[in-house]
Amino acid sequence: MDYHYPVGCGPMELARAYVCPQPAYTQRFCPVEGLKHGTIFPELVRVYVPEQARPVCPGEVG
Amino acid sequence: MWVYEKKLEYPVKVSGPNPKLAKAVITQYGGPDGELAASLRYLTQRYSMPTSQAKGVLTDIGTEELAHMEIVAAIVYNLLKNAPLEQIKAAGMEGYYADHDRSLFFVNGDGVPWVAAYIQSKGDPIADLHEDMAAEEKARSTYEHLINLSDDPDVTDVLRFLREREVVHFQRFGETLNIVWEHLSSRKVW
Amino acid sequence: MMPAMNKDELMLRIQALEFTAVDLNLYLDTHPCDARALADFNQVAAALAQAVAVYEQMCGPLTNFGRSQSCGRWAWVEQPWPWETQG
Repeated sequence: MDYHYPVGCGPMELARAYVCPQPAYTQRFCPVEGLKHGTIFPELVRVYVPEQARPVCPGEVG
Repeated sequence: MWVYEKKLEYPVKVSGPNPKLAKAVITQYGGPDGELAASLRYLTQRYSMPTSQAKGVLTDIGTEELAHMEIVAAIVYNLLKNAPLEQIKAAGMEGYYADHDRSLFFVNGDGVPWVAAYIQSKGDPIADLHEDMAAEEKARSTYEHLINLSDDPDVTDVLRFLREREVVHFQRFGETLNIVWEHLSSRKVW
Repeated sequence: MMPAMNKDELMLRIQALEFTAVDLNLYLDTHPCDARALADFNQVAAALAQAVAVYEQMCGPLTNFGRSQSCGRWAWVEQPWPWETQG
């Protein structure tokens, strides 16, 4: 089976959504680290900063 | 068919009884963007997917969501277990307690019961996969709100794990969308 | 070769290995031609099976419906259950 990923391989179409496919991984977390992160792939980690921990600039709301 | 593994996908512990937090977290058990909705949505959409690969992704992620539902249940169970009635009243959970004691039920944070209208199986694979991507974003967003609300670091740790899983699921559904679109284009079925 | 572990250490190892297998499984679902990932998955699956075998010797069956054997007694219905994590 050979899948042709459209992203970056040609003109993009109107009225169509694309998600960039994950390239073949070269590294992954060890099992315990992966479990703690919620994924074994470092490139898929998205760190969340809770509302209460964000710095607030003067004049900024929300 | 499903078999059951007598373990959680991720370990759960809580710092102590906390009905106020349980009342918020329960939305990921029986609420509109919770794990029951996710698992049933994917497991019912999979039957009409056009490619074996898409059926695989929906079966696998749908199954993992059942494991997440169990994790959320374990959080709520432990936050309510041995919670004194005074705490339950202070949390505004008298209504829930009257109907369910400290057991688990499929409701959102306001006690609204789960309903099949939360999910859709359109039979159109492109529509279904977009719904799945949106569902993962809504779940991620809900976990972020719960992380903001949580005053228990042990619970926050589990919520972070569950949130990251939504990010990964979004990626897989997006890749599946790419693959299904290519498949349908090559067959010129529309 | 696995070092000697207690019940809780073994369970964490199983959770970590199985989670790795789950994430690799989902990756392979959308990257079925990645031979390296497939080899990686098979290696993890073998390590997981080994850890599960040791755990089940110590603590009884982990899976129902014929996936695990139960020796001497029907240990499946014994405590604790996964959500009973404390107290």
